[in-house]
Amino acid sequence: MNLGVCRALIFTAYLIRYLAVPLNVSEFALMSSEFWKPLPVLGFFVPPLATAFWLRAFETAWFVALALSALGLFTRLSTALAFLLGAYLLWIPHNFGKLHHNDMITVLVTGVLMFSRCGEAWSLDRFFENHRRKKSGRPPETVAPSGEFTWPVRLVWLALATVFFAAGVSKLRHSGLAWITSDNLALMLIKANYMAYIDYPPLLPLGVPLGRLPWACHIIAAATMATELGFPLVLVSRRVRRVLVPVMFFVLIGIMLLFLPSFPELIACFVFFVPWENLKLRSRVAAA
Amino acid sequence: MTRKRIVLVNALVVSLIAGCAYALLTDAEKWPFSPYPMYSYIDGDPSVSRLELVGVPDDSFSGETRLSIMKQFKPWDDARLMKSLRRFLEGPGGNAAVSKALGELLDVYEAGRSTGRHDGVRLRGLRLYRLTWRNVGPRTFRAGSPDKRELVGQFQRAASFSPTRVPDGLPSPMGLF
Repeated sequence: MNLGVCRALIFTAYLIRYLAVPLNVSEFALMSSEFWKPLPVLGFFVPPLATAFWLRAFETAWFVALALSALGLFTRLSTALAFLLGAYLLWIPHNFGKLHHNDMITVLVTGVLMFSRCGEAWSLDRFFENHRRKKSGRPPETVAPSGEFTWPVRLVWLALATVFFAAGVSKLRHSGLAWITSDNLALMLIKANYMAYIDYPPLLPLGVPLGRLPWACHIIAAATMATELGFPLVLVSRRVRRVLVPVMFFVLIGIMLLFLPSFPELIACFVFFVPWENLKLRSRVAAA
Repeated sequence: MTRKRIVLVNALVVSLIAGCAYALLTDAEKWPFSPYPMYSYIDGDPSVSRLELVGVPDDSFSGETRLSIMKQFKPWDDARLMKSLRRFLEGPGGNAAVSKALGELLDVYEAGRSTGRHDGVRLRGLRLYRLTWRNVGPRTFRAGSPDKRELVGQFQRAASFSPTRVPDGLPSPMGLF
């Protein structure tokens, strides 16, 4: 059940996110080659850029695949298409101007789900299968608990751990402890507000007052770096998980509110940390 | 789980860790793996500099209109477009490359306007400014207006809409108003 709920929620979240702010990759194909600055996949391979017609077709097919994956209909095929088309389409905008780091996790998560049996529960596939069995007089198939339904969740945790750990290591590598002890965070909070002059002010106007409190900035910087570097521990310790997962969740929310970049794809992945099975059990107990 | 499935899962775990380690050890982007270097450098520069793109309305010789990159220059977003333009500015092509790029962006804007995707005014040109704020710090926050607003590139069409490229040597911004 846990994996099925996570599948339904994550694909719904991706669908909403990319319908709200479409990639419009077909229009990149119309730009001249001067704007094209290739970003090799895995550092060595640059796939060809399809024509605008095909990119439009791929984007439409991707949305259908995301919707079917969320519903759990033809799940094996739809999740495979969601990964393959998504990986290609999400890669394209990064070849124009700037690499954004928000959507790499989408590729990794859909890749994990493609190989999993995430359509076994909470899916239309299961519903229709049980309906067929009922019509033929057979009892509905029950899915026994198995490692099959645990490893994809744990692998998404691992993917998230690599993301946050890498961010922590980068801070240590490029700035060392000065990232915490200097006025760096205060200055970043202040500078984010100069964007307001153009079009996009931070959602919460607290960056400037917070930047004026050096001690608060040092604490936030230390907590952020400690959480990032310690995040792999959530893979092995339930206690650490209870602390670091909500802390990291609020760090991402804080970045979204105080700075401009938002990481909705990363935030959505936190559904994999919710023990949906326990929630269902608790609600049954409460109802009884 | 069958043995085949266990091998598959282990292969996925190893691939994920290897991809992340590869990006981290080389400190380079290996899409979809990354060392996630954003915000990791200490920015001690007490000044802020950024680019601003404005439009020159077709019915005006002096006015400028503010533009919304996300709405009027789809599929571009602000960060991507400005980084592209900065690359042109710093590249070997210099002003000519920027002017050419702005011409193409004007086509994107006008195509969007003529197909009703945005309701911006008709433009005959685009100007690119570099805005600079100095002495930026916790006690000196004043984002209202920059200390310096410098024209670094432009593309302008004649009123008849026949493409007319501005020569490499840019006139002074004041001369345009």
